[in-house]
Amino acid sequence: MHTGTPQDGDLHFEVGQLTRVEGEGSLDLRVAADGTVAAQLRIFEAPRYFERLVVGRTPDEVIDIVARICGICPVAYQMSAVHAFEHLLEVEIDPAVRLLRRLLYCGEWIESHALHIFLLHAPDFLGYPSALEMAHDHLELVSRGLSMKKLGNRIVAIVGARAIHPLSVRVGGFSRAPRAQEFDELRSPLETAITEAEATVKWAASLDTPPSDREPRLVSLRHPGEYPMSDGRIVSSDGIDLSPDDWGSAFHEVQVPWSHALQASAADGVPYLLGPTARVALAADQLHPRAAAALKATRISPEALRRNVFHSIVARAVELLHALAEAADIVASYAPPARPAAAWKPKAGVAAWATEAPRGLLFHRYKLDAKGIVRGAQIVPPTSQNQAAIEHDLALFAPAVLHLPHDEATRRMEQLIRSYDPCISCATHFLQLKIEHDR
Amino acid sequence: MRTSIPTPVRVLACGAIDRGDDGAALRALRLVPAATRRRWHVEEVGQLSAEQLIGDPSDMRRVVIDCVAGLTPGAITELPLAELPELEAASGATSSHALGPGQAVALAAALGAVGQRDWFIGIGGSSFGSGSGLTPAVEGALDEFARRLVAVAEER
Repeated sequence: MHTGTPQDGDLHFEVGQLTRVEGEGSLDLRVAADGTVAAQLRIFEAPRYFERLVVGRTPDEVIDIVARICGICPVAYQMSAVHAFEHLLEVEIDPAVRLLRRLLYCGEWIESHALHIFLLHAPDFLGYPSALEMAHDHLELVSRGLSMKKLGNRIVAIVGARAIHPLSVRVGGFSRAPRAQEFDELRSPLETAITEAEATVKWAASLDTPPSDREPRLVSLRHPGEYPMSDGRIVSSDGIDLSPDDWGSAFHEVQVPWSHALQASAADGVPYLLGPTARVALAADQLHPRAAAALKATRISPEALRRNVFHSIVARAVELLHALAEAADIVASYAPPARPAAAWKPKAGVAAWATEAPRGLLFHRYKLDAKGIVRGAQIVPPTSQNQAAIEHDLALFAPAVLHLPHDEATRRMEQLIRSYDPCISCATHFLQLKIEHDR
Repeated sequence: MRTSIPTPVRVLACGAIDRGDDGAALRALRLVPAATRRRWHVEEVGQLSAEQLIGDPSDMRRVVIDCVAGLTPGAITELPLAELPELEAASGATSSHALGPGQAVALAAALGAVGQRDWFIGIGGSSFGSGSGLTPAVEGALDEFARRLVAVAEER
């Protein structure tokens, strides 16, 4: 971290390379002489052009292509895309296929949340520069995280044919549905992991949390009968209530000069927060009973969970437990669908949907022609939507740590950024490319 | 007559086939004769992560193959897997992943999950753009990369 005192009297803090986040970004913080703080999360990872790559492709090709946006949450990209297409094409999904997709999503939540809790975020709370140094003193914790991550990956591999960038999701269902006995290997590890996840919620709630107070606008899906993943309405803590294909009526994307990633904004410009904290706050009544009980036992009030950004590790741990418990339930009752995929016919129109990636709401919108070929695409990942909230919270939080030694102030601010589990690689695929030709 | 039981071999091929030189390990794997490959447990793992290295039987030999930024393009290096973190540090390459391959190996090693028989073979690469093919230097060294993989995996 470099600091300086420019001639105008402002203080300038720069964290040149954020560590323990996916992708490449930096933080630029400017403190004016009057104490006002401006934070800019600079995302400089090269643009990846996925919204152009999918043009001219069929829906099933798109599902495979968008999975490549992220190695941590490829399922989320597949789920938002496949639901968008099925909504437009009016494909009726077999209930067994729907359950299988929830299981696939549970696998992704498990591997993503375990990675973040144990290997990326825990070192901040326990005072280590990385998980590697932490492993010397907290071997059991690291081992638990890796075992859970491996289990999540295994679920994705069985349902999706491979752990990273799975292959089996298709419009109408799957290219292949697993046999029931293929899940036998998961039963015992899931039970072990559920017990360990219960202990993880308790451990996360016991961590020393820096003070933080904010009043975030929360946004997530909400479904009347289940914890939000692939279905439900887009709701907010202040009354937004939209169909999942209608994200654009309340939110839009903007380009800021300091970031390769578009930021998303609500119509009134107020930042909003996505992800585990938002979901737990807006859908706590839909948590699996074991996750709900574990959350209640922490004695952290919903108000405290929402207002202190550092409690996100608790919300993430509660969701880790939820995903494990729901996965165990699905595995226990699984019967393969009669057919792995329903038939469908191409149709012109706009296909749009939002699902819940581990980091929050992920919105996709595609324009299809009469042959079912994609002619335009918009993909809005959670990290791009959380950017404004991160900058807002940094500006609120920074004055409390600026008096600390530089290294400690840096560590605290990085800890805050990591509370959002940002995935910068996801967020940089959509810079608009304009080519002008001289004639 | 006594017959020796062959050491089980697991090959973890890293990279993405559609990202230029990043696909070198996957392409080299395809140059290995099918009969040889069938003796191994082969996985295309994308990005190496620590949990991929835990839980294997202790007698299993793991061979990780990958393209390495920071090495001379086309240059091939072999080393014990446990030394990958040092190679990563020496090459000056940084990973845009939250945990790079070297950190993944170091984490697995901290858990006692990296043995002396585990090996790494890397090929230097220079271009990792979407949709592009291998650079000439990497293309030219691919046969040798595959030959070295067979030699290490089969302990020849």
